[in-house]
Amino acid sequence: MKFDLLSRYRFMAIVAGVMSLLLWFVYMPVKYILNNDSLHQATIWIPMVHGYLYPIYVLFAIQFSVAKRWKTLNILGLILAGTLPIASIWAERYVVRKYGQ
Amino acid sequence: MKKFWQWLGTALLVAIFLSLANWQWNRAAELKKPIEVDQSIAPIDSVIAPNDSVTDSIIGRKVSVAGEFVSNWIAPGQAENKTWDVGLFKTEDNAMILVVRGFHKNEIPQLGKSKIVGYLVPPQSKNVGESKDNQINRVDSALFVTKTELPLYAPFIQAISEDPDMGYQQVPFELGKKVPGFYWQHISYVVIWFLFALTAIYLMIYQRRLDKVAQ
Repeated sequence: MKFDLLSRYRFMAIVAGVMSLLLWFVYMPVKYILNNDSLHQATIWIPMVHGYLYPIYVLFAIQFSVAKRWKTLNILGLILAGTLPIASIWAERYVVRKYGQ
Repeated sequence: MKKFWQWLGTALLVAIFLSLANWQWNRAAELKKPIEVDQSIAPIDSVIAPNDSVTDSIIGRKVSVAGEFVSNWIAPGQAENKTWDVGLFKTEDNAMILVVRGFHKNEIPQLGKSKIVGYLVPPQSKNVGESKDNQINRVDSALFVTKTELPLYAPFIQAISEDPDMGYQQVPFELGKKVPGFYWQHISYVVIWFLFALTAIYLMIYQRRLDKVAQ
C-alpha cells in the first residue's frame, strides 16, 4: 500500500474529522452541559489528542496543497477545515473527487 | 506597495498567533503552580461575613468559630460514597453555618455548645440523592434559608477539631483538586499557535513565489 501525499492527507483528514466530532459532540457537552467531574476526567484525553493530531493534519494539508499549487486562500480553507467536525471529511471527499484514488 | 501590505498583514497574524501561544503557555504554567493559602487560624468573622459570597481567596482558609450545634443532618453520597455527619451551627454572633463534623457515626451526634476549627469550603452545587427527614442532598446553606431567621454563611466548615471532642473521624480536606491532563492540553495549543505563526510566514512566502511565477 502506497502512502503518498494524497493518502497521507486523506488519512489525517479523516482522523482530524473524527477527533473534531468527538470534541464537539462528546467532550464539549460533557464539559459545558453535563457539568460532571468524573465524566470530564474520563474525556479529557479528547481535546489533548485532538490538540496534538491537528498540527499533523495541518502539515499534511499544507504539503499536499502546495504540491498541487493551490491558491493561498484555498490552502487556508483546507487548514481551517480541520477545526470543524464535518468540514475536514467534506474536504477529503472534495480532494478525492478532484485528484482521484 | 503590495509587498508592504503582505508583510504587514503577515507580521500582524504572526504577532497574534505568538501572543495566543504565550497565553496558553502561561495558563499551562499556572496549573503547575501550587495553590498557596494562609494556613493560620483566624476567627470566621475576620474572613467572611454572613451572606457574603464565596471568593477564591477564602477557600481552604482555616477558621475558628464558637457557638452551638442546633440540629444534625447526614449527607450521603459524598466522595467515595461516604456519608458525612453535618451540623447546623449557631455562632455566638447569631449567624448560622453548616459544619461537616466528620464521617457518619452510628450514634446520635450531640448538640450543644462547641468550638470548631476547620477549613472553609464552598457550598456544594450538585444534588446527591434526595433531601428527606434528617438527610440533605448537598452541603449547602441555601437549603436552610427557609428553616432559620438568622443570616447564613455561604461556605461550610469542614471540621478539623471540635471542643469538646466528639470522637469524629474527620473528612480529609483537598485544596483545589485539578483535572489531570489540562497541562498537556494547554501545551498542545501552544504547539498549534506556533505552527499557525510559522504557517502564516510560509504562506506569505509561497504567495510571493506564486506571484512571481504569474509575472
